[in-house]
Amino acid sequence: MKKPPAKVLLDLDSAVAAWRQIADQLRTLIVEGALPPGEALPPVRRLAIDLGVHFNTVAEAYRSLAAEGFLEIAHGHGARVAERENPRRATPEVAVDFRRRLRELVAGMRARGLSPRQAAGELRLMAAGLEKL
Amino acid sequence: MTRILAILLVFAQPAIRDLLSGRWKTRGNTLFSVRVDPAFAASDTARAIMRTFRLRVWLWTAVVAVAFALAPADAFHRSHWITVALLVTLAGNTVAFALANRAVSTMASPVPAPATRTATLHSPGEPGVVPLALIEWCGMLFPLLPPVAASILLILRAAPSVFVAPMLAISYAIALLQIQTVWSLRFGARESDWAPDPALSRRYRAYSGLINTLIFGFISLNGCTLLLVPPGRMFTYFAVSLPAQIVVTFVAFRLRAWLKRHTVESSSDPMPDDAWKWGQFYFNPADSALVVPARSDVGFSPNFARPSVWITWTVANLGVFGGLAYVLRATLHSM
Repeated sequence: MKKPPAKVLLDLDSAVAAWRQIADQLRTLIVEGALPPGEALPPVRRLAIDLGVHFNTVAEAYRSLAAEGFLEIAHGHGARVAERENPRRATPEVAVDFRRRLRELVAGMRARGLSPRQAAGELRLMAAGLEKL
Repeated sequence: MTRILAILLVFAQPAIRDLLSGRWKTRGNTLFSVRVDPAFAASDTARAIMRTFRLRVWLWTAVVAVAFALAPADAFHRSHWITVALLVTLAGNTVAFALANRAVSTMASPVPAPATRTATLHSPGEPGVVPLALIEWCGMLFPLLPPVAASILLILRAAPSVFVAPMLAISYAIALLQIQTVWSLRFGARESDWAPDPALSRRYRAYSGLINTLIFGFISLNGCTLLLVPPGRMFTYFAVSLPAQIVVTFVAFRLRAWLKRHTVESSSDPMPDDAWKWGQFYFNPADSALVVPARSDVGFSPNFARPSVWITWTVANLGVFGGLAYVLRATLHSM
């Protein structure tokens, strides 16, 4: 069966900057394998038009992902997903950062009406999915 | 006879608008380019706004027709007088639309634009793109052929007339606009504006560009033929060429109408209301798109906030209106 095309969603009401929303979603798609290494990303101009934002917003997201090692940007050839191995062991700082960001995310969602029970349910679902990897 | 034909042509515009006006409320629940609640679109207030709009359009057309009827008989032997009358009627229609747009903005409660936008990260190589690319390139090159061919033939004949330069200026300006339009539809359009499926979106845009290019390409072709063919043979030219032009344009319209059922109605419309100036002209500096589908359901609008768009339109309009003014001035002097 043909895989559905990967999509990027931009929430204009979100407090998170547009470039960060784009970068976060692309990173998720790359880490989860929806965008395999070597896959070409749409040109900056194309994605900016489709999302209705300025070219610089998308360029900033691409630059940020390239700095993190997720993308390779070649002038004249656009951006491609880089060959990248995830580190086998995370440093303690990474685990601390993960916990902090998770708490912030849950707090943000609760502030928007998500009940603690719903939040716990979603986290359990995610944990079950992660344990299968 | 010419006078009656000219008046009929002037009346054709509001008649077409009247035929289309029933659809104006359909696209994305908008009425005169304002996003409204479906209940408002069906209300008595909306119907009253629509009635007033139609009344204004028909009244203005009647004024132009009366001006035509009272004008000196000589004027009707000049085809460009009809062009002026059509432009004046079009300007009146645009003002009527702008007034209806303002009335809806004042009376309807505001409906916010959708807060989310989605982009598909599809790979660049889609199946079936070669014929579409051919349509797009033909769309860009077709309006350029008549003025280029006319220029070469006129240089070879070395028989310039007072109308050659302005007519060629108008034809080149039309070609410039068409190249810009088809280019924008291919490379500067937001896919989800036209259809949820990227492949269908591109096909719909290719046919929209083709229709535009056919209409304006034929205008350019007829104008350039006027320069080349002796007046006595124009009847033969039009007798052969006009039916062919009408058939080709009709086929292109049918193809697009067939595609439209699957496209525009189900597409997204992220454009804010205040970006639609006078309800018909899109001006949004925050949007990178060069062209967006018109909310009035008649074609599309360039994004006049983009420098490449307004520079092209300025140059092209200078060519068209400069050429037209020159021809009119020369005609008035010769009368």
